[in-house]
Amino acid sequence: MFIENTLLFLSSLTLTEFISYFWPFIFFDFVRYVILDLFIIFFYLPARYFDSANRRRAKLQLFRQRPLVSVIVPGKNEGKHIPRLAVLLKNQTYKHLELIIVDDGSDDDTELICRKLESEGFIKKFIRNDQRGGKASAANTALNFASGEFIVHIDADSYLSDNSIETILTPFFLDSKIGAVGGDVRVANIESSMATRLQTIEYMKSISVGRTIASFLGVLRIISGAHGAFRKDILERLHGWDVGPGLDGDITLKFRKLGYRVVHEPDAICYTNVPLSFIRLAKQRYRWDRSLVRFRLRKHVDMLLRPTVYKTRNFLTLLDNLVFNVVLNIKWWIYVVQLLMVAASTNFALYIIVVNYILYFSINVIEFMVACMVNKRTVMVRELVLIPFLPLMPLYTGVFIRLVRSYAYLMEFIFKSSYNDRWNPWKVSKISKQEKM
Amino acid sequence: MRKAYLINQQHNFGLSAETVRLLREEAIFEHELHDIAFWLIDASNDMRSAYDVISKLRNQLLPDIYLRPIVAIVKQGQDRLAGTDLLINEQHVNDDKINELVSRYEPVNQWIDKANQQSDQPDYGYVFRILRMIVSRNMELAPQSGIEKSMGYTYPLVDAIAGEDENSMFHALEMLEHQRLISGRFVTKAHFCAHCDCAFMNFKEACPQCHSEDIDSQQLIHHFKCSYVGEEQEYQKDNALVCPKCDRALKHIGVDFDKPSVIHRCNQCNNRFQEAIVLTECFNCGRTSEPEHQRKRSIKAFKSTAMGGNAAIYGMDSLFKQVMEPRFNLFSAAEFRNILQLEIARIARYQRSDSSLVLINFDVETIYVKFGSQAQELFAEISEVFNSLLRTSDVISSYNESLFVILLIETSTDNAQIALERFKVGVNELLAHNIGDDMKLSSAIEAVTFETDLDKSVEQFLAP
Ligand SMILES: [Zn+2]
Ligand SMILES: [Zn+2]
Ligand SMILES: [Zn+2]
Repeated sequence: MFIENTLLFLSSLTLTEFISYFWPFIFFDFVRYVILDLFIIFFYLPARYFDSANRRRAKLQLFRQRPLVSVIVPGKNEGKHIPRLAVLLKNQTYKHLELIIVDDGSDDDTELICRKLESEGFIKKFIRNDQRGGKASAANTALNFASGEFIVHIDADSYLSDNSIETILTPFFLDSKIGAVGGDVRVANIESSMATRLQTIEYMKSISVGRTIASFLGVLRIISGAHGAFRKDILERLHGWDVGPGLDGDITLKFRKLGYRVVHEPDAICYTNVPLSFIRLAKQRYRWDRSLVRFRLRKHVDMLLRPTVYKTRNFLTLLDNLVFNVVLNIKWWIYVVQLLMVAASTNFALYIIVVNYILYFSINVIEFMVACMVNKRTVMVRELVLIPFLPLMPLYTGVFIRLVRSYAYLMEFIFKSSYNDRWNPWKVSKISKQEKM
Repeated sequence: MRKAYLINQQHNFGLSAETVRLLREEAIFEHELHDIAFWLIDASNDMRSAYDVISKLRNQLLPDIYLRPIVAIVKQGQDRLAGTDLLINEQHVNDDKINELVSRYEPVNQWIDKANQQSDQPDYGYVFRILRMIVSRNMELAPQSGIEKSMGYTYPLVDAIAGEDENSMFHALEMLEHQRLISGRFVTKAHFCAHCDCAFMNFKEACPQCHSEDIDSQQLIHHFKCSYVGEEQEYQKDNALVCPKCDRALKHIGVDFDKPSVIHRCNQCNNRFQEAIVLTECFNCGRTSEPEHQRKRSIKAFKSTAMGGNAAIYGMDSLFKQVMEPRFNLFSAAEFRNILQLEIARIARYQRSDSSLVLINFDVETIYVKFGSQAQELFAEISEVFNSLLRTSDVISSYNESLFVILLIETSTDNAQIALERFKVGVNELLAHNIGDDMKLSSAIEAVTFETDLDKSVEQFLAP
């Protein structure tokens, strides 16, 4: 009965009416996801296939030159994860590694654990800062002590797959203009809760597919700190990372400003644990989203205002970022208002919602398939059992994430609240705020 | 009434003959020893010869001599003399003081009398004598730091009792504590050379990579504004600190920058590190040790336990016996004598001897005081070798602390000799392997005849 009515409602719409009711989907999401996803199937996958001979050559080159790679792990109270991490590094297919741990003012037994590992040779260098300085300064400390040609930045609690380092380094030998490579970040604790399951699907869509496409189009805007590789000479030219939050996106843009390519490598895999509850997830995203406003808009606004100075692609990168975050968010609210008005005057708002749900659900199904195609062999049963949860995704991305994001943007625009973030020690935040960074 | 005995003095400090007797060192043994309250020694003129006398007294084997309290008369300001119970200022020597001391030491002397009632034999065991010293004083034996001994600590009261070497005292106390005859109270910890047990060492910071001592320190600086972190020298520019990343001058520490940590740089290999390793160089043997080879020991104060109090009166089970007991069926001395008598009677009847009596003098204590706690494992291994010597029909007992008596039934002296040789070779191999040292292991074999007398045999065996 309801389905019949919905179909009746749909068939009664003229094209103009259809567009006026479903414009966000047609002009934004359909274009963004379906078109781009089809693009990936028709262009990226064949291109990658035909590129495989080059990749093999690049890999050979890597093993012939055997550059030293510094794996840096800055963090606070991460000691408990380090022994496992050290073992994972020993198991890497690429062996010429050094592990550098920076302890940013831990107040647990991190120092004890790491000093032991250092004396046993599992850690090349352990640097302890009694005073916490924030993530950027800890990463910069590690950089100061790294002697590798390449820096691989990972989070202490992430799990690298055995060939991860080898794979993330390969692109550097494919193109000398590549300055940084992002690795794929996947969810380790998929089965822990509903929140982790939905995040897994989201990561597959946004990182595996989203960043692969962005990389293919040359508009990749972030290399995740949880798993990224950098040429050390360029990092040193930049004197390392700037004050966070959002330092990952920030350093990526700086690489691009210097004229280097930044790419995503979907086959270099690292697994990470994501927040277990929706509340913790909301807090995490709140933190992440505010950094967008601060760094992409305030700090790198020159990319938009003086596009000739930087390449067109950099301009597009920033534009893409703005459009698909800030503008999409505004659009979303406009649409919500529109729906409320429709609901007030007519009785078919519910039909519109249902149709939207079906449309977005279809996109999710398509995207999930594309993600599996991009990840190829590395997708396993653990990801496939998520298929029954796909119907929840429109609510997750369409409502939950949107609300958190809107709130974050609002707070950042109005109050600049990320300056007061506990993420950095107060002494650092204070300076940042004074300097209007 | 006990009296103080003033040794080797012509004059008696004006003390009355009622309280003090004069005695020449050489005459000690001729003297009736039971009315001694304490030895009084004049150390006010010549500390060295006073110590010689103290040491001689303390190294006697008769409880009546070595256990007696020793009081030394010293000059003002003198506060150390090993082996003494008490030092008194020469100006305070008078009859009242002596009488006070006589009554103060009465409990100690009563304890000695009690011990003498049990046995009036000399105390051959070094460790046993130390135990008796601790128990008879009924007070805590506290360590005293000083540079006279290479161990850095001494226990003044028992220090004059000479052991095998300088470290014997520590090992003896370790052994007594291990046997729960004394209990230790933690006082402090000290580092010792792993090679020679010397406490005097130079601690040196060095590069963990090349062990060079040529290292410099630098502060790391964190510039808050741009998050740059680098060594202080990277920031130095014309006598000011300027950030190499953002070119700003640093203003106030804690406001726009801080120094999160210190970094060492090795001038030999350029290694940069945060934790220098600490090497120790021994002042005695000159050898250098890395941290993992340094020896750290607790220095304790000791007090006797109830068990120790008993053992000090009735005698200590030998350590070796303790180790052996769970492994072998050790017969008591009485049982052994009975079995031996039966065997003697049997042999007398058949007029044919084919059993052997073996005496083994195995100076367990010497090993213990020489090797300290390591000795435990060694004993366990030695007892395994002992095992190879014995059959189930053989009878073994410990005659005293270090003497074992074994009755090898139906074994000719020749065969006993072969077995004994095997045992000696085994033990010596073990000792040579573990400690690179031979041990005096004396033994005797005799055929059991109707004339066999255990005590006589032992006496003969022990006679020099
Ligand atoms: Zn060095
Ligand atoms: Zn700076
Ligand atoms: Zn030494």
